[in-house]
Amino acid sequence: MNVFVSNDLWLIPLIPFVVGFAIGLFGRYVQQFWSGFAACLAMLASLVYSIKAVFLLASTPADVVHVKQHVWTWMTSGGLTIDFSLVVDQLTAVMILIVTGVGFLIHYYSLGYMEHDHDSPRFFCQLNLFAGFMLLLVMASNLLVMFVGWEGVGACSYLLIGFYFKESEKAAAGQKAFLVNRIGDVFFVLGVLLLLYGLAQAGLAPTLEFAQIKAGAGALEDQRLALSWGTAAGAGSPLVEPTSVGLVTMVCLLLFVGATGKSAQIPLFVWLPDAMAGPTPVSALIHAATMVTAGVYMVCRLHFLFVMSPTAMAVIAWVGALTALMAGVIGLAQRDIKRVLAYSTISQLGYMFLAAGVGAFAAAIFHLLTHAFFKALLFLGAGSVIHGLKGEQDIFKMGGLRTKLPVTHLTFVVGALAIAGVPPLAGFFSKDLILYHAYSSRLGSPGLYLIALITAVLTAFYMFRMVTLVFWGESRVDRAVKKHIHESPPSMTITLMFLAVLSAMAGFLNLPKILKGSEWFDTVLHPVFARVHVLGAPDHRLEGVLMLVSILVAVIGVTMTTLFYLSPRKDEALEELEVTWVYRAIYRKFAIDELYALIVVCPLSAFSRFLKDAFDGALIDRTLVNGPPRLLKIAGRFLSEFQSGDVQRYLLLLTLGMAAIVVYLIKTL
Amino acid sequence: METLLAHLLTVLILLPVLGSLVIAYLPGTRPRLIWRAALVVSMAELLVSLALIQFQPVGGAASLQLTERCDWIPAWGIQYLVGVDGFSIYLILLTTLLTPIVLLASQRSIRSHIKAFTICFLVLETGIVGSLSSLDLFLFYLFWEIMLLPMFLIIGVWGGPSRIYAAVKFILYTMIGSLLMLVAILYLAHRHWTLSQPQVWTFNVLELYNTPLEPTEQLWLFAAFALAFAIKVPLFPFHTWLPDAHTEAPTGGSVILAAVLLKLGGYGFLRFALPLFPAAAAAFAPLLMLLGVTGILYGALVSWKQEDMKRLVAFSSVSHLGFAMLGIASATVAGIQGAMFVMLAHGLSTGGLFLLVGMLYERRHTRMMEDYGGLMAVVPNMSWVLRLLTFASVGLPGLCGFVGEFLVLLGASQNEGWGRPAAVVAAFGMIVSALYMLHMFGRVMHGEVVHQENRTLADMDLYEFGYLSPVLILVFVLGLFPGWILPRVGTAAERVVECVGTARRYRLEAMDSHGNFVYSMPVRLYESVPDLRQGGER
Repeated sequence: MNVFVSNDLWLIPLIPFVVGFAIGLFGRYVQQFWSGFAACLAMLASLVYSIKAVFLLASTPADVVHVKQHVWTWMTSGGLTIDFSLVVDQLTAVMILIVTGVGFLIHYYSLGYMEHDHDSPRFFCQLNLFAGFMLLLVMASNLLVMFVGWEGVGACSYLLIGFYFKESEKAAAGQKAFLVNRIGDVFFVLGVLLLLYGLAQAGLAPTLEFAQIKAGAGALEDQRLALSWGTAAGAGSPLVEPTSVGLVTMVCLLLFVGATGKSAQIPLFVWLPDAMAGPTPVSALIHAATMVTAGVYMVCRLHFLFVMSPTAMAVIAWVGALTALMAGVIGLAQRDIKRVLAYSTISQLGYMFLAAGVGAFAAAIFHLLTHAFFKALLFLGAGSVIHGLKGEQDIFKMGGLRTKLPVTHLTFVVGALAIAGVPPLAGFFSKDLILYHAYSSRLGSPGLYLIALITAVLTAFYMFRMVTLVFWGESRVDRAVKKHIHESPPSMTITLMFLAVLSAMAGFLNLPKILKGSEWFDTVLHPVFARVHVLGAPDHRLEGVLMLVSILVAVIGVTMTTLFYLSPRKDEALEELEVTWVYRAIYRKFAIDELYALIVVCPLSAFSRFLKDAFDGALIDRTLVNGPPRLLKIAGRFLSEFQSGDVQRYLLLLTLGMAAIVVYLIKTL
Repeated sequence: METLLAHLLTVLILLPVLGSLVIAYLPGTRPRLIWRAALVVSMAELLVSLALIQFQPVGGAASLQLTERCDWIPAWGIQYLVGVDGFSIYLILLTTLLTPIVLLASQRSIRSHIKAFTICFLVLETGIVGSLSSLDLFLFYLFWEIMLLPMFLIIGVWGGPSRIYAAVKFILYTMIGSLLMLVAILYLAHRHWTLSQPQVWTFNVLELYNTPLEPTEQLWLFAAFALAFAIKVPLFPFHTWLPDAHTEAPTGGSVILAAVLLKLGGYGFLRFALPLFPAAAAAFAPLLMLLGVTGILYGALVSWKQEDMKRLVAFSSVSHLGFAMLGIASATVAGIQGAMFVMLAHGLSTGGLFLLVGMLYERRHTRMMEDYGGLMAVVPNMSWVLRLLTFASVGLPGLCGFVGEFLVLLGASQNEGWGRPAAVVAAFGMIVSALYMLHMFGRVMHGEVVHQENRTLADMDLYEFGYLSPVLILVFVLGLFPGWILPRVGTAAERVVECVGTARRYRLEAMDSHGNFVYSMPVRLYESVPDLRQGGER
């Protein structure tokens, strides 16, 4: 295992960090333009260094696993040393190119989007810090440095969702995002601790370096963990308790809960729809293209652990599939343009987890890549619409924008076609690959395939419902807004065009063999995922059949939806639909937020209030702590009655006492 | 210079109190002069204390350094014996760093009895540094009590509306614990006298570490020491003096109380309770862990429902120090390193939070969250600082809070006993800590400005930013470069871990056998210290 050392890697996350802090400190004191300019420049520099690192990786001999830079030793404790070191292998290479490339485009777009906001330095500062943390997350050479990025992006996401802090609901959405993410993060930490425990049990040196865990992963295979308060029974012990579970399975599940927080999967997806409160470029960068994919990245990064546990893999695949389906269904009925896209993101992330869960890690990353392009495009397109309509987000108050916003319209349709899986756009290839693996992998099943296929139909439906309602048909825009509709400034439209080209073309990076392609993207990632052997042997006939089904589904979905929403009778049909309970349930998002409030938030809040008022205040403080002194005080006051200095009272007491003695003597005598 | 270095600890202990003597003779009509003098003294103390950094960690029995010894009351074996190791160095540095900051911060808000105020803080500094460096139990007890009086006055004289109640509660509560500790100290010394051949009196803790004690004796003595320290920490359920003391104390008092005084509790466990009575410590460990973990969640949940910002931060201290207690009770190197780190990080982040709340209080004369709201638009700089401290407090990795929490959880998960379930439960404290801190930030900073008075609030000026900046810088430095601290704490922790670990093994063996046994340390923990007056060479 060879490692190539580079001393430039740290610049990739460092530049956005430094520039971000600089903007935060000094941005308010210079002209507004310079903040955005510096932020863009930082991303560009980071992109250049990323490309340089990727070329360096490409030029190294085949036996080099990654390019590495040890920056400093973060902490040592006992035998555990945690280095602040960065690596670039093929997987990281893909990720840093996405983060810096798409990141740069979105920064550039934001120049236009934020030009009227005098708070833009704060925005660019946080956006740059986010990029730095995200780069740290994907470049980390060990779990704990990854966790720095992991929590850092969460914090930046919190800051940016609550960017419009004057509106309390928006700020609260940021807090919700942070807290829900934190729940996931705790499980991540527990997973890390359990992994360290497992390594110790297996007699290995404690380490959190990915490369070393990978090397030692085999020894963890037989470790079991008793699900009682005892110690775990060792491997091969005759006393393996019936309630024990594979240690690797447990580690994987804990880490996966962490991933469900960051990547908005069941059960922790509830923060992402609310996260749309942030400025639209934030939704595009953080809540579509990069941060939310961190969970997928983490699972792929640790694929060598996950493939050891079929249970964990099955959980991931099914959670992914069900999330994809559920979010797709909810997306059908939303009215807010950004919420539709948010649920669509959750749904697409579900696809990625489905792919990872059946062992098709390269397919998951490929979908991550294409999704970054077309979802960023769709969000930025939506941003352009919102910008043009002075903040209107209800798709039922749009319509007919095709002529008013020509560039936005064209690029948006490209994005929608891509996500709906219409060939030959990017989404078709990546989604088709996932569908194929969901069916053919040894971990896959027809059930998973079917769910994924249904979700594909739903995707086509909700996307073209949105396209039709926003851009086609007749205008339903409020009259006051109508006069001011304008196409966005060039910095926004150029970005849209760029992303549209990428969304259209990216699929060809991984042209399947049956279409005379070379599956180049798979080949690139092959060194990383080489040891995964759960995918079945390639079956070109099956692949061809499934591909035809996908095409059919996408094309039919797109046409039917468009025809329905363009037809003059759609209003009546919708009115009929809207009164059904199914529609209402979907529109209310199955009331999951309310359910969580009922079973988690409210009881916890009531319990805390009880602790504060009754337990801490009344019991501990007033009774146990202040009680004895009060008793002493009462006793003292009582006794001091006898020492009042009042002679008459003394005499009275004396007489009473004497009388008592006399009575006593008489009785006993 | 040589002599200064040779007597560094003595200088550090005496400098503030001598300085306060000088201040006592300054004319009370010239407040600026008094402030300057106090500042000069505390800055000089800070500079001298920086010399502590240069000492490298030494493992093994010689890990206590800069030791000085001379007889004080020879008839009773009471000595002036001081020395430091990884446990005390950083807490001393934290104290010497925060004292000038606190004096600077108080300069604007304290208007009455300035002379007494500065003297209180300087005497307090002597008490803290003395407690942290004493290796003689009698001397330690003396300094321990010296700390109480200035703090009592600080709360009682310059505090808020119900300052008398808070001050009396503070001193009585702490006294009850420390008096029991005094009884235990006397018993221990007497026991040593009866057991030693020939019979000698000593309060030297390095000698007392080796006193063979029976398990039941250990349990009682440990309980007495632990109670004193647990009240100081404060460990749930002995915490209720803290919110009152914190809330009523003036800003400076709250800062020193939270940042340093509470840490004496954790320090006491590490220096005295654990190595003196290792078998009892092992026996008590599950209880301490349970209380620590309870404190983490309990403090956090109660903190969430507070209306008063200072009370909120006070309960957050209960939560943070629960982590420290868990780490200490786990008796693993990582756990103790983590506990030390939690204490230092808490000193910075909570100290900073109290300073910030103090700034708000100076402007608006209220600590209630409902009186604020929407401040982010009015005081952007302050909101940034509060945000940073919030992130540090919730343990965002890269800032100071995370390292300690992670190491505590790691250490607890290495504990053979109840550590693992404790670590699992404690981890959930990370969620609730985010809950209450973000809640506070949101209520103070987010939304529209609702109160007219808040529209004209002045943002942080350069002076305020100036005295806060060392804290803010250290929040980053500790988070990114804990390697500067951890090794030295680690070597000190190894001694304690070895000691408790040996005792635990011994206890397990003893449980199988019958009859009495007498426990004694199989190895000598620390080298003894030669007497300076007899020309001993170090």
